[in-house]
Amino acid sequence: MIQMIIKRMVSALAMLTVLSMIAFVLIQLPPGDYADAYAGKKSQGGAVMTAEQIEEIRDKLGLNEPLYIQYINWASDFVQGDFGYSWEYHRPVIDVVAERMPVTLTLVFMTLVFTYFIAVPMGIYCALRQYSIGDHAISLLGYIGLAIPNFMFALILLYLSSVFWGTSAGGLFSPVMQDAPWSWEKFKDMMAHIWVPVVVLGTAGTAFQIRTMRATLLDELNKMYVTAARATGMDERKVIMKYPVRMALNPVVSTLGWELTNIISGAPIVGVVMSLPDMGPLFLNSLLNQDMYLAGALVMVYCILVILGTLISDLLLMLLDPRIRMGAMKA
Amino acid sequence: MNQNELLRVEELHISLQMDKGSLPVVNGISFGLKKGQILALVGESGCGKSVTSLSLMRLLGKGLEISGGQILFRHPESGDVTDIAALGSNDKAMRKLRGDQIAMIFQEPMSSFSPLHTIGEQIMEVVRLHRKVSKLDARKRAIELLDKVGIADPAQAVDRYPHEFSGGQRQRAMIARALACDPSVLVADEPTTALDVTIQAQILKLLKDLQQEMGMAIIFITHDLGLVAQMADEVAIMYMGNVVEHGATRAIFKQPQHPYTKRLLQAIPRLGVIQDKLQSIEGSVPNLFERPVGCAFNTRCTEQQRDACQQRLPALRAIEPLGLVAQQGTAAVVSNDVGVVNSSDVIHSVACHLIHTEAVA
Repeated sequence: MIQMIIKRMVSALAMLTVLSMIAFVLIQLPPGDYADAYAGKKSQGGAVMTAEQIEEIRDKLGLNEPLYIQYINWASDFVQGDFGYSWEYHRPVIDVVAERMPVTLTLVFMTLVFTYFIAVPMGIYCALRQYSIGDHAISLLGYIGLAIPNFMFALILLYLSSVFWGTSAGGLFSPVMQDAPWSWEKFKDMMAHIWVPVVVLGTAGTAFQIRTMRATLLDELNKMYVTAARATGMDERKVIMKYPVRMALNPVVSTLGWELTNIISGAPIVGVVMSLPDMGPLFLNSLLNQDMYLAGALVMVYCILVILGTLISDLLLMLLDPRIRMGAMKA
Repeated sequence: MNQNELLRVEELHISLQMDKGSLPVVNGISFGLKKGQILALVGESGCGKSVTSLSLMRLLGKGLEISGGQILFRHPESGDVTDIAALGSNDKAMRKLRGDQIAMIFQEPMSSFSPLHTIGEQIMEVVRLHRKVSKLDARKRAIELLDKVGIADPAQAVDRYPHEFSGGQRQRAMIARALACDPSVLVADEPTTALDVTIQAQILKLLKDLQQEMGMAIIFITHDLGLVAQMADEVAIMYMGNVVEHGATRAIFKQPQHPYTKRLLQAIPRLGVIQDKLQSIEGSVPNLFERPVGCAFNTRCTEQQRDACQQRLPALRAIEPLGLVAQQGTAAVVSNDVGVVNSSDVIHSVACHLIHTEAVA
């Protein structure tokens, strides 16, 4: 088992290395670089930069080196914990990211909790009461949830909240708490606001997981082992919870890593639309400004989160299913 | 219900509930089961034998309902009689009988266990459900049961998962689970259909040995008449939800009366008899939506039919002792009441207009 985990970790590392290369190339891909972006900004302000001045900036930032040298420099620093310098913020990248990371992590975690805590019981309900009014209602809501893009949903909620409650659902804090240092009060304030982006981010995933849970459980309910368990004289409710529900949880758990990917890739857009102080707006800005070390670090953070999520879902699955556990031990 | 009977099924009707009314699946069958006896329910797929067996434990699937009749069970110790057909499928009284007094083994040993729980846990659970025992004692009982059904190294096997067992081992474990509380009735729904022939023979021998040792009665559901000859004391042949012939195994095999039984017996290939082709019964079982008027077998019967065959469903009635039948070709009706049986021998009865020539007024 431990051997298996180590194996998975090693392959995760290899995966990250490859991903970092792709990320680095992708960030470099748009035409122009930070020097151009900087000059563009300056010229908007009326100042004119000469070609020499721009070239000078390039030299200073090392942008004239060949791509692979730039990558090696960046990667070797990255491994040592130095994520580079954000030209835009004039601060080390790690400080900028560290400031936003807790909010992103909280958001992602809360969304996962929301998704599974709603989806699993609802999926069970739908399967046990197949074709009932409740089942149809949940299915309908689910389809709507799946069909509405996240950013659209965010906009609708923003609109509704300002029309009906006269408050903005954007942001994560009340104006008073906006710049306050972290405290219990600030945390409570965040919890009061965070449910809106959580609902926005989690709805599609929840709808999907309800479908998964419902479909698998319906399948499992017809299996022989359920009848066999009933034949022991066990109470119906206990039979359902102990056997088919437990089996139906497997595919739900195995999609955890994948669900995490969805949430993380949805988060930046929702973050921008709802102006959340998380990594989303930061990521968008860094790409617009060609602030490449910041963008690179953010891509890597997102990648690490996804890979970690997949690893966790694999481990959970091994914990839940003895067939997978033993297959892993033999391998 | 006779004093010596454990179980009496009386005019049992089971139907499939659909949007447009209900469709009869089992059409008023009756039989009794004595203590320590093996009764075989035989028929082709779709004849209602599995549905009947599931109804005895109130485990009918979605849409299937008992629409009439009684299933009387006499508690072997207290002597109390319960009508199982009148209970709800999740009633406490039903759950108390299920797994304790009446247990069941199923057709597919591969899928009868949850793959996520150990074999031992799934056996212990039955013991702890019906007996007030500690976890440790339940475990001891599980090991003892696994040993009894011939699982090698039971102390180790108890902690294994179903996927580590072969098909035959799983069916043995299934039997162990069913016998966990010393049931008085064991319902075996085609217990060997999914197994290799050699394993099949081992499992049947095991069942027979255990039956003799523990004294439970078995209802053995099968489509294989070859197995019936080895296993059963008494046979009920079913066709489209009715019992068409019922009698002692010997009588059924030596003197089959119903045209369907005769054809079924001819269909068994015999050692030493060279046949170019396997015998089969012409046609196929009509589907439930197209139940023939009159005798259900009239679409496939090769005998010279009477008017009655097309008009009325024949009733199951007793026939005279065998010798007489053999001599005269047709039998006189001795009694309309199948239920009154001398405990020592079983009345041979049949539902066929060709045999009971006198129309019942």
